Amino acid sequence: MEYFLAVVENKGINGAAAALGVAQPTVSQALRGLERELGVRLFHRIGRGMVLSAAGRSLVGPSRQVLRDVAAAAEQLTASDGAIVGRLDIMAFPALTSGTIVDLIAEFCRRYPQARVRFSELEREDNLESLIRDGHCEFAVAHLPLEAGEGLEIVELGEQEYRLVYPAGTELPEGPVRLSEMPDIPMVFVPRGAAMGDAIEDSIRKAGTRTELAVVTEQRESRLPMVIAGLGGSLVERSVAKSMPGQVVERACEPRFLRAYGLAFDPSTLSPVGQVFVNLVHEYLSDESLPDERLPDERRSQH
Amino acid sequence: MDLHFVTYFVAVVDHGGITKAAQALYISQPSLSQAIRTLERRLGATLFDRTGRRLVLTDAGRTFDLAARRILADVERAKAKVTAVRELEFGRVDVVSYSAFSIDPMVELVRRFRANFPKIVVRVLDTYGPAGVDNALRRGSAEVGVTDLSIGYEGLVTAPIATQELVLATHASLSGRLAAPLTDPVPRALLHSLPLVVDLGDQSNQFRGLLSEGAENVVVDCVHPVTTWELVRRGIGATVVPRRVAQQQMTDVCAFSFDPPLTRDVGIVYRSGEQSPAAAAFIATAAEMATSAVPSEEEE
Repeated sequence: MEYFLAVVENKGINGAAAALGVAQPTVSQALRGLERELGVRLFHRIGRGMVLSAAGRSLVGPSRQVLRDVAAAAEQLTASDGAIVGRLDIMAFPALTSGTIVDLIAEFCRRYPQARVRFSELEREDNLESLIRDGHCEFAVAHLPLEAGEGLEIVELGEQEYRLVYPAGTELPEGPVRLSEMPDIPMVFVPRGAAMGDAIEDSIRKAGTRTELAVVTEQRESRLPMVIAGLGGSLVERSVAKSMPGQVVERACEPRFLRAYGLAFDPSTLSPVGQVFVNLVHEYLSDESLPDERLPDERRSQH
Repeated sequence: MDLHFVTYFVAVVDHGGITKAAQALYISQPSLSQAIRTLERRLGATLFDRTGRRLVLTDAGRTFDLAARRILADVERAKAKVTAVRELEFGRVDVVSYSAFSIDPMVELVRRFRANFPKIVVRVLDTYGPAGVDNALRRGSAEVGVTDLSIGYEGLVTAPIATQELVLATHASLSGRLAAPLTDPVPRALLHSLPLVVDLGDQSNQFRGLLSEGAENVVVDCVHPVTTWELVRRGIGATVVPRRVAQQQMTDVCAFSFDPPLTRDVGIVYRSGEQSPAAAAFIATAAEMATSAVPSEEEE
């Protein structure tokens, strides 16, 4: 199963063999063995490529769950008494990977140094329930309300707000920027299709502002660096906007774009390490003394 | 319909007759007459009333006159558009890369390009690694790739931009917990023991072979770059990134070279043959950046 997942994750036998540090025939053989055992083809072998069959797709989630269980069991045996071990599997929608969830992961790592975290990408928000039920992840960070979340427990983590950022030195009046009065500066956007981005772009267009495009990038992490490099303005999540103080001019937009987001999980199948994380989340959210998105003091003194 | 006929027809109307129109068009009078008759035959309508001394438009001719002028205006607009694209007054270049290069060299490359060609929009597509870049170029979904040149791209053209150094980025609060302080450069073997925040699923990540088997010291396996930088800034783990990323994206974080150094050759890759004007301009910008690239400044 480990080899099977490696082939899936590395998009082929070559990649899997390299990742696992074993010879290619070993992986091929293991895969054929698994297919024989299950009596079904897991991959369509098309030309030189490998594409998951329907049976293969259905095996991905459960295999991950099995590997998690095995890892947890193995680590439990070697862990010092009472230490929390195992792996936390969290998927997040790309626009929701900063702010509170980072605080939670950081706090979890500090408290449980022997535990491990996997923080991966949630590509769609409409199939959360099956992702969690099939064991692709234990937790998902997604916009609220969930499109499909029957049976899942949801903890609201906060509201995502998009802010306008412009290169340092851009002269803007204080206070929020009205979409109808956006400065005449080209923009760096992510392509349409990202939950909140579309709503904002539509509103900008409706407000009658014709913002020129400079860059459309699928690499979200490059938006702020591009603004800092002077390529144009952008709309970014609040925690991203606040991450480089002094290097950008940041403003709220009017109207504000706020959308709640939260952490979804299935309370009936939580692993021990998952339960520990849920406890931490509740504790964190009820503790007013823990400011979210806090900045270490020494970072402020740098500027 | 042949556009020449439309042009001839409009010229005859504007010049009030075959003779003058033929002179203006630099063709013989018989061939112009012939062309107009051919046009009428194809349209199945008589366009000119030839009973008087002067040519007079029929009703059908007046209707066609309006349509003909619209056609010619649209042709002009289409030509202007093409010219604008050719002269880089308008257009878009599609570039493909993967997260390893999303900051360095992509931000500087796009900055230089937009400074030279402010009317061209840059679209950056993200893929999973060099094979994804290769695929996007062959499929035609992008014209230029920004990628690792140590991998072969059969049948494609490559050009270097710079040699990029990968460094260990770590926050003082993490290094402070270590038994011995880190001194630059650090041994590669450190990647076996130091708590790390890296993307284990990223096939393009070059230092993967340097990690311990099972990668047990990877505390957070993280695909989201911004989250990785933030966790490193908070001292949760160290990571391996291009030097520029360590310097620009992670305030308060120290960058250590590896011993031996870890480097990769970054460049562009594109299909051979004629490029679109915008892609050719992008390729030229990359070449210009290659000649002006200075080795990233040494950090104390």
